[in-house]
Amino acid sequence: MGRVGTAIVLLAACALSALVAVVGSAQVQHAPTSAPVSPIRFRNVATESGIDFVLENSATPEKQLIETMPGGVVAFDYDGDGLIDIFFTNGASVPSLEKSQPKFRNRLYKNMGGMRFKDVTAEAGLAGIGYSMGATAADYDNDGHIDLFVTGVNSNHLYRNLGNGTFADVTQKAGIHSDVWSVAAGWFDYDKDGRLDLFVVNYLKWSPDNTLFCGDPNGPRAYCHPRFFAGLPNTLYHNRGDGTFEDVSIRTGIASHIGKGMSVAFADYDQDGFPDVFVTNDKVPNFLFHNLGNGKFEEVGLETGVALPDHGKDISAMGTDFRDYDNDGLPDIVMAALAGETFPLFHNEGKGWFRDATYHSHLGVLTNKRSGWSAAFVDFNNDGWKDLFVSGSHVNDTVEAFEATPYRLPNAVFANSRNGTFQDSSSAAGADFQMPGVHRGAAFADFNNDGKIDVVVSQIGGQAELWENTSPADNTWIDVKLSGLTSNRDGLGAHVRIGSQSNDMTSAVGYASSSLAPVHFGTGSLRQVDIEIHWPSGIRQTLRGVPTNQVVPISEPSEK
Amino acid sequence: MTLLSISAFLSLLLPPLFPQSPGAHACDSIASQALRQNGQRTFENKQFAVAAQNFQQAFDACPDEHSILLQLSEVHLRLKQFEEAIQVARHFLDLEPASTTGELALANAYFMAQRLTEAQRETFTVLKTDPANPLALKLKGNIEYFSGHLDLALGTFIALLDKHPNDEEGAYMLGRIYYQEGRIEQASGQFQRVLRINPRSYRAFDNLGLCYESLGDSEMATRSFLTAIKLVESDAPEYDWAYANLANLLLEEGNAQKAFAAASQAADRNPYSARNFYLGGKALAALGKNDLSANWLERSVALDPKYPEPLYLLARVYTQLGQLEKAQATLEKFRVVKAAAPRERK
Repeated sequence: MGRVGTAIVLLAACALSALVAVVGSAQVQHAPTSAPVSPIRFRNVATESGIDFVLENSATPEKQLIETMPGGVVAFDYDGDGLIDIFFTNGASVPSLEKSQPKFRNRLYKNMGGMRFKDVTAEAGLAGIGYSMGATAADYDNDGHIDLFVTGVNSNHLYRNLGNGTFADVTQKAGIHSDVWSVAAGWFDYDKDGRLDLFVVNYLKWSPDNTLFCGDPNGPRAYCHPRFFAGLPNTLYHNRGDGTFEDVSIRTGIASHIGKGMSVAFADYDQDGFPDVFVTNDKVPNFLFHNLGNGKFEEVGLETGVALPDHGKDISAMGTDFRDYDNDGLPDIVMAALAGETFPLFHNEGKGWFRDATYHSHLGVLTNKRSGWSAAFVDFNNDGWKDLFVSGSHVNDTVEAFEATPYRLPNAVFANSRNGTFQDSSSAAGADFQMPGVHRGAAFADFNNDGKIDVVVSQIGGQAELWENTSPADNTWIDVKLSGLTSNRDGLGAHVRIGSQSNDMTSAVGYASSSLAPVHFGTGSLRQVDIEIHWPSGIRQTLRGVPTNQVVPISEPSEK
Repeated sequence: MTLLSISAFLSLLLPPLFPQSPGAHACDSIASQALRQNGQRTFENKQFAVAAQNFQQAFDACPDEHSILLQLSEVHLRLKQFEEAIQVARHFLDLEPASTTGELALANAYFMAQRLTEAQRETFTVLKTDPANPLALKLKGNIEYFSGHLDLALGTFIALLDKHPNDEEGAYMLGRIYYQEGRIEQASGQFQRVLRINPRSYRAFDNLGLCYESLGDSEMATRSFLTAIKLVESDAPEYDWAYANLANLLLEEGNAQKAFAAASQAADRNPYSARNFYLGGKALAALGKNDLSANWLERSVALDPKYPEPLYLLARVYTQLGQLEKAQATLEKFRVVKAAAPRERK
């Protein structure tokens, strides 16, 4: 036996006494309790707010895969009144994939203030076409009005905001394809030309003619595993700046990678000044597209350690977020997944690679029995540390016949313990927060301008939930509302620092969803803060002694 | 855990000695019996190559002792010398054409050689004359399962247990199939049944632990694994699965220190299991002991180069150790292995 073997035997011998302790106790240790954190509480105010949206998936006896996948939610201020509005995607008839009845319309709710919303879908012209999946918001033409891109089954649509409360479908004119099943999309400026480009996440090859049978022939039929379908490459559109887009998927290297994409998030993981793209994939390794800065991307998921958890097995990676959770200044990655897979967390080590921190952060133990869709790092209790929200549900409505895991699940919130770990705060988040549902997309914004981030969640076959953040208002906060000049108007891609905290301006978060709102910081007991902004243009800007508890509009300076 | 353990049961049911048949061969029965006893002893000590030699010599000393061939065939199976096992079983059947035991030995040898069509043919020969033969039914069920005919396999094992309700192995196999198919409640029921038949079945406790784990009951899973371990300590010192399964559960519970202890015990009992070393390496990685983790994972990869999980973790550990070239090379191996043979181990 060589040195390695000797070391192993010695270790095994040393471990004997430890095993005695194992055998002597039948108790399994759970994650250690962490230091107390400020409470996080929510109250579902959907009904009184006027949000009556029900996500219709047209469930069929044939168990068509598309039925499991809608739908996204967008939080954005479409009319520029300072109040964040809400857009929901919706399904359609199957197999026609047509919005044949009013119940299938996508829905836009205008925020009237005071947590009251009004359905303005018809007047806005956003009822939509086809079986919609996800959506993403940004001002792609830098005209000051936020536009909307809606993904769907063989039917993607770009809606230009005309600035008068209405939208125009400019898909064809803009040169956008509409021929595969797209789930999610995100806006970012990959070449830093000041114009937002569009990344579209494609899932797999599916047709309404699909007759594949999955499940127990003598028992319940089940939705088919994605392995029965061929994957697709994602699509990257370059914004030409004249209202049209060019498909640059091949030229940039994006099209070289076939996946089964679920969601997308952007951040500059290696701090080279160019935004990188993280794409979750369903039961195939995730992608991390490293932006080389020369118009090309290199897929480095495996090399950087974010393609798979450390066990090396494929997981059903769902929605994601790409943000700094431990205040070390580097964007980390979290994603939702299904029961038994945990919600993996990858910590950015700052050396060009990530460490699987799922168990170290306690999320492994806390989430192993959960299934989720939208995951987002948001500081809900304004203590200066981002917490984790995940919308809950399994994918398969007959899962209980096959596995010991529920289909309908409550949402979950994990409080950041401020030491690299999380604790499950769901049970203390409120009585109605415990209600299970078939949750999917989620968007995050301060809908009532009280300084606390609220959440809106879609639910298949059930009323959408609007979670008003009712956590104690002891801590201060500040929202940074960016306005780009050289950079894109929304400031997407800007990196904002307040003390040791950092956050990125992005609208790509969660599952098939989008949250375009000011960059939020909880500031604990601080009354004023210094704000440092690193704009996509490379311009750095610092504001000193800014009072907290306000939304601070910040325009990009004209010079470096 | 494999369903291929039927060969062990065949050997248990063999008669100790066939009645000596008259023949023209020279027979030194005293020498043959001594050699055969040596063979049985070395077989029990898992010295299979020596056992094969002993049985061959025992048969050569007295070719009238046909049943020695059945033991020789069994030893060849243990040595994974499947073609030899088939030849020897055929030789026995040439000498004893009406022997059901011989037919089953040949069927089992075909099964172990994964020649399922021939295995099925031999099994049906037995079942034609003895439709309730428990060994034949077990073989039939296994053949059906490995041929992908899940419903048929389940039907066969259920029929077996209708006829032989106290067939421990049959209930265990049915439980394993249910478990593999994710029908955990039914699997659990069969393992409970095994325990009613044999309360000291460490394999049933071990598998019951896996069922509880799948059902999300960590406490009962732990109890079951620990009971299996207690029984293993006295009854089957070579059985490593209960330790490995406990290690896996402890890792999922975030208890890497104790997981490492359990994985160490598993590796101590079976130092040829890639999974045991993978679990140990995984626990060490979780404890931040990357140098040691790399050692364990390297051993795991050496034991089974086609096992993807340790390759991936080893690449991650190399990265964390700053050994980037080794990390890259290991990732390449992982890519190849993963593309070729995705599989689950439990």
